[in-house]
Amino acid sequence: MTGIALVRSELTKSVTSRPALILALVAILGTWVMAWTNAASAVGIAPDDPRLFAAEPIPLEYQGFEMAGFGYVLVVALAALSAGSEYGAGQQIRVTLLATPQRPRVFFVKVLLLATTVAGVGFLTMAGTVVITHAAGSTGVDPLELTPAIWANIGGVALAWTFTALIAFALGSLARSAILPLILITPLVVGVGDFVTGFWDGARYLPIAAGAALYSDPAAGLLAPLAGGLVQAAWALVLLVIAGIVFNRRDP
Amino acid sequence: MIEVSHLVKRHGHRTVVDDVSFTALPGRVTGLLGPNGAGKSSTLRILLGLDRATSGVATIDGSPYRSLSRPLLSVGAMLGGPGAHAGRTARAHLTWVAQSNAIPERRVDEVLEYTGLRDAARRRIGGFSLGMGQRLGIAAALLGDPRVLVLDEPTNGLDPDGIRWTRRLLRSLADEGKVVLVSSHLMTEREDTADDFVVIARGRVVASGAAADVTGSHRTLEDAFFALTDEGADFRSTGPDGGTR
Repeated sequence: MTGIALVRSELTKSVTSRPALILALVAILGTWVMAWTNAASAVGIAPDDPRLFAAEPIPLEYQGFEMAGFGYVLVVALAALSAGSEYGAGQQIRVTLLATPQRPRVFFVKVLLLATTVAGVGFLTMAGTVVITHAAGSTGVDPLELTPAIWANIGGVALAWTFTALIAFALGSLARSAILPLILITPLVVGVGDFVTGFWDGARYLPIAAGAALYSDPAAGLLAPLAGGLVQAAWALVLLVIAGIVFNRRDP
Repeated sequence: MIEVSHLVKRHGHRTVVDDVSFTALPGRVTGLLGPNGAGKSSTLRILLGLDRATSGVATIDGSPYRSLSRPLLSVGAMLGGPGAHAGRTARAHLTWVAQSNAIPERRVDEVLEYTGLRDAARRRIGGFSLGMGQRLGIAAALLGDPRVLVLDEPTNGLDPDGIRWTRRLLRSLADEGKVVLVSSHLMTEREDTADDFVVIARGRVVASGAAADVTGSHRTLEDAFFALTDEGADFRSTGPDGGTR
């Protein structure tokens, strides 16, 4: 009874938060629009066309996934906000814990809802993006019958976004602010991780680069998909456990 | 009944609550009084399970707050304002609070009406005045129609009409047989409302009991308050002669 009540309550908090709704909608719809303009203008171009910067064609099962970056940033913001909004000027955390003093339960439900939301947003964003990419460009892939490899990559994005969101949430919860995860995670998401991977092999184990292995062309030089997923999951798990313990013990 | 027994809270070497004990009884308004920084809010935060005590116990009807599974049905509280996100409407805030304890959502409308916020229900809390925010905090505290009310400085920032409304509210809740514990740094604020007083300074209880017990040999309750808490105040203004007042 109280578990369901808590889920309903946290769900209401999410859907009545205008920034969270806007971030989720812009992640989905914004990426779709960008995929449409990108695909309509470039996907059908021959790989040796001088208008392309790279002569190497992107394998079909990875086409459209370069669009993931935009939504990724918004999902990090959504997760950071989910943790930080409890500690803003209104100090909502006081009322949250007065209503449910069983802190591990509060933490668990928040994590569960964020993971479900981000997985859903990630799946919708990328499924729509890939369908649009193949529908708008002459790629040879039927947009209504995507291959298993493409579906696996869509699932990979949803998973990577979810793990990253949980990492951002854990950092936000530890710092009691949305600022820390935005400062730490956003640069990694927008390409600093890829840049570092270029000259330091160990960077493949950084959380975002590890997660990118779940949906990236192996030619990118990242970890194997399964290994990457496990490494990113481990990052998320460790940080969540630390954040959960601190949340349970600390005076808010 | 609220029972606080030998409560101690230390932050490092600083003791903010020092062996505080008192009770608050049903049908009575108990005023927890002291200057800013005396330890009132810390005591209430421990009572409500937000902070952990270094030692001692605080219980509500015999149970620690953290052990209550739907606490809002037995305890309503407001600590340092409404604790509401500025971007949410009053109704949305009260709705999630009600849902967390499986309180029927019709109660949201009832407490909005009761606290005079019905017309502001769909307004964002960020646009609320201080007084409206306090009313919203009280509305949330009343959602579960609890037996025990704990309100930290509920009249802070209220206009005279709001102060009078709060006084009447506290009185009527006590008259219904509820336990009402309310803190303030203004003795005059609680003098007309409270039945029992707990005066706290520098983390210690310096006097407690009915008005006559606390007044003792002093001329008024307010004189007693200043005499008792004089050394415990964070700030004192100085007169032209350099003396404190």
